[in-house]
Amino acid sequence: MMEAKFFRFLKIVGVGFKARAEAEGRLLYLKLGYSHEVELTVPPAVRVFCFKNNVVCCTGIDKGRVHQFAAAVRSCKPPEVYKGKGIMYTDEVIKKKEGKRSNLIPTLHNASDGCKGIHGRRLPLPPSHHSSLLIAIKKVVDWDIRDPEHPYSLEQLSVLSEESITVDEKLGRILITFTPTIQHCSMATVIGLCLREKLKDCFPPHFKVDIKVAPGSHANEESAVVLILLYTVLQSYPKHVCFLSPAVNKQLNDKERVAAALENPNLRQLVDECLYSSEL
Amino acid sequence: MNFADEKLELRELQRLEGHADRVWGLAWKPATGGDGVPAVLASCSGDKTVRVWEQSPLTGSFQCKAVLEETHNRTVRSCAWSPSGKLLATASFDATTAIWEDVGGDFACISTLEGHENEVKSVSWNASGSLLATCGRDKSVWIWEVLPHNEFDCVSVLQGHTQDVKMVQWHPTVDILFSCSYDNTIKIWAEDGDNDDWHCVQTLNESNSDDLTIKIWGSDIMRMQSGDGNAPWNHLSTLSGYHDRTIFSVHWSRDGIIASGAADDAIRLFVESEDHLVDGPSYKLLLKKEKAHDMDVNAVQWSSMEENRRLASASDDGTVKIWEFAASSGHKKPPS
Repeated sequence: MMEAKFFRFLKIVGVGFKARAEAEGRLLYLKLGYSHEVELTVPPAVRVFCFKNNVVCCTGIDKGRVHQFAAAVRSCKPPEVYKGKGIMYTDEVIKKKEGKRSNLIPTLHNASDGCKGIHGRRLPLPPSHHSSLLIAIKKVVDWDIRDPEHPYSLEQLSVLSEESITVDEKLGRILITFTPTIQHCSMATVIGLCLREKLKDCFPPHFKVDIKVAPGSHANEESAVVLILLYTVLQSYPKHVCFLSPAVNKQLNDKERVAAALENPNLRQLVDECLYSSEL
Repeated sequence: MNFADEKLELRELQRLEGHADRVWGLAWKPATGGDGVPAVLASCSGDKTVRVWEQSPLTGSFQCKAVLEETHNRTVRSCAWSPSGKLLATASFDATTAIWEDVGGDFACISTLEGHENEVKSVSWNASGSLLATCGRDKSVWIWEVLPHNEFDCVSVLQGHTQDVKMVQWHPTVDILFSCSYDNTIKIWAEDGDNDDWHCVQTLNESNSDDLTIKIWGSDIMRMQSGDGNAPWNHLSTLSGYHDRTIFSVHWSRDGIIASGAADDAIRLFVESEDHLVDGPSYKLLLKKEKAHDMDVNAVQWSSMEENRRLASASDDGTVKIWEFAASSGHKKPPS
């Protein structure tokens, strides 16, 4: 028979983030996008329950222990300030910050104006076509790639900026150049794969896409191939691995290689999770 | 054949729908399409199936005669008929090559060739149908021997390429094998004597090879046919500036027309040009069929039918198209 029980509720925000309790509430497993599940041993006199796999309830008769354990759970993935993803108390209010939004798509004026498009060129298009293209580009630029270490949008991390997108409407071609920053060079190939798939969603099917990776600092030809294989078993992301851009470019633009890689269910799943993480 | 005299066009005869994913390759069945035998075509797809299409003698249109499924569990990348037309080989990303036989209208998988470590990208039969070659992402080329009672035995595993091997093709008359690879080289393999000792006799290495040019290579045919598998191949000609996106397929017709299928959805036809300003043959663009398909053209192949110039093309848009290259209506074809 328990006396007054104390509760602390936490919620987990983020696609693919989940919690699960085992051993009658004495063990808590958290999937937070890291390569391994986080396992927490619940201290004595505290128990955890999970609801709908993203609400965690810590309960017990010792208020200090309950609050302390809840804090420990929260510290596994504190909420980040741009999108509010992470673990937070249910009554916590996350003050979000505006991401870097400078020089994004300008507001649309009258059709007769012809809007200022990419690189300041005037694009004399009918407004509906124009705006949907701009919206599509905005979606790509805003898109939040789900890298567990760096849960920010590609633009915020200067991986991808508007200047690096060129659209040739007449030919129906898009060229995107992205610069892998040091933190991201290990994900260059997956980013490339994701970009290609994402663009298929955003742009009309007749648009052809070329993806080029701007030069990184070090060269390792083999690692790009190894990376695709590594991702197929969802091992820990290789750190400090940079790519020779021509090799990565050649692979990313090799339709046969990309098609074969995406037939791998693990890699497909990773790419799908990256793609849809922004659609919370 | 003088192509300048007449207004020729590539006319779409039919669009074959049915595949649920991109069509990667196709192959006309040999010895069909003439002498009262209806034309037959096989196509292979990302939907893991192979479809066999047959032309109806009454209506002239192609119907899907058979769907070869439940054998490959990944994309089927390439298909090839044996020279007699009795067998069909299909190469798949599932690392196997299946051999099918037409048993009274139904196709049965009579053998599965295993051995590649990962995706098989191409399969080719030699001129006599006694040997089969496959290649894949595991950088190797495998040569298989066709034995009685539908048995296949691996004769040799050729290592030499340093990256994925994308395609293999046998010479049309002599038993020499060509393989081309992601490592930007083409290797030529021949047998030393008759003891299953296959080795690389030449490596064609063009330093600025890219996927926007077509290169023509030639060799001394007399030397080769007298049994010298080592007759060297020389680069004769380059067709550049005609394509601005990846060329996925090229095929030479019996009367010397080169067809190309590219990632800009177009089919182009080239012929040898009359002007002899340069050493060796030179080629000119005869025709560009823009928007031949809605998406990338992955494969083109001329049919070996004598009478008409028929071309088949396969695309990412999931369709196969049959074309006729002939004088446009209103012009009479002069007797050749």
